[in-house]
Amino acid sequence: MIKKLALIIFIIFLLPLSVGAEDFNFNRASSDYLYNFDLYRQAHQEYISARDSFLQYKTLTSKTNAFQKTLKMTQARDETVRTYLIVLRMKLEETLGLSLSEKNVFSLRLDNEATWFSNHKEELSSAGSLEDLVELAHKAEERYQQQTEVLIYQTLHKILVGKENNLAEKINKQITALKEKLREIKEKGEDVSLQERWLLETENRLRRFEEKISDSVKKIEELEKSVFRDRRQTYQEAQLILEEAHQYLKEANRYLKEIVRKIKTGE
Amino acid sequence: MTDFNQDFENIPFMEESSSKKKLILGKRKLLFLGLLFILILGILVLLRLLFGFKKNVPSSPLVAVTPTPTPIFSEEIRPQSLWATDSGILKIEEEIKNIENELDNTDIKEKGLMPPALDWKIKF
Repeated sequence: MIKKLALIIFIIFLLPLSVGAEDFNFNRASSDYLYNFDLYRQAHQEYISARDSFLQYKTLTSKTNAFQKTLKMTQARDETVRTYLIVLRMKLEETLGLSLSEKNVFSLRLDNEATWFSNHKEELSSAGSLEDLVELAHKAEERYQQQTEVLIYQTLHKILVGKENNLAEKINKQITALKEKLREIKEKGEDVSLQERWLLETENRLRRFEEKISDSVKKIEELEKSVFRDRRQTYQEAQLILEEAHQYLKEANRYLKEIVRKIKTGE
Repeated sequence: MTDFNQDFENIPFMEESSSKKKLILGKRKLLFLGLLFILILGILVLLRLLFGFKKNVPSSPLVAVTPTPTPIFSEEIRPQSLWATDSGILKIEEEIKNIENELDNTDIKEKGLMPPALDWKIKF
């Protein structure tokens, strides 16, 4: 009887929750974020209007209105940041080429940031005056500039590195498979010296790829070292190095393609 | 008998002189017409030379006129080795093609993931 009751409770309450958790993926997180960003933009327009009105008339009514609109905007801003961080977390989860520990470390940091903005949103409601609200809003600005922004660019970089590593891994697998095949062909008495040379060239391209990845990682590490650097600029520089690394992967794959053609035609 | 009753002496002298005059005028006219003809001919020759020269100058020196190549409908047949139908090689070939597609379609910028532009400066 107790077992049956437990099963019914599980089916009614827990199963829908677990299904919901499975359904929550990157696309769903993106929709949430875009919806909240849209709400923020609307709230921001209202805030600008209310602020201008207050600065012009300095009346109690305009101040009350400014307070309400500022509260709405800052809360929407917090919610936008929170949902955006969840988007990054979901993207990170779906990205191949990253180790589980790497994913865990970043997911934890992203979750912490998302929780901070969620708490801050609640804290804003406790503001008794416009001055208090402005002061509380500055806390979010500080947090974003000191920690959140760095984490965002580090995560974006990590996602791109994961994608590149995943492709490099696939190419490496084909190199191994081709090496075995060439050995087999060689045993049959055929000359495969040219294909072997091309295989060495492929490996050289992969080495250069790894060097570029390392350079890009060094570049992104500069984010934490210098406070005054333009973070977006630093990220874009690191991303540009990743593009160069991507070109090496393309070259490596072209070599592999040529090796297969050579084996097939025997020219 | 035929009566020659003509007054030769009274034949108007002026008529002869006017025909001479007419002849002189005709010569001038002829000369004028001849010159006009030569002039027109000269202009025509000049025009011909001019247009003929223009035709020889290519309108666009960068565009090289090449004969239209004859289409080849038969596919180039390359000699196939014994390994052309090897399942291992065919599998590797397919994997490489997949990687190539992935390399071409991978978004290495992820612009859609960039952080939102937010107003952080609250001032009153």
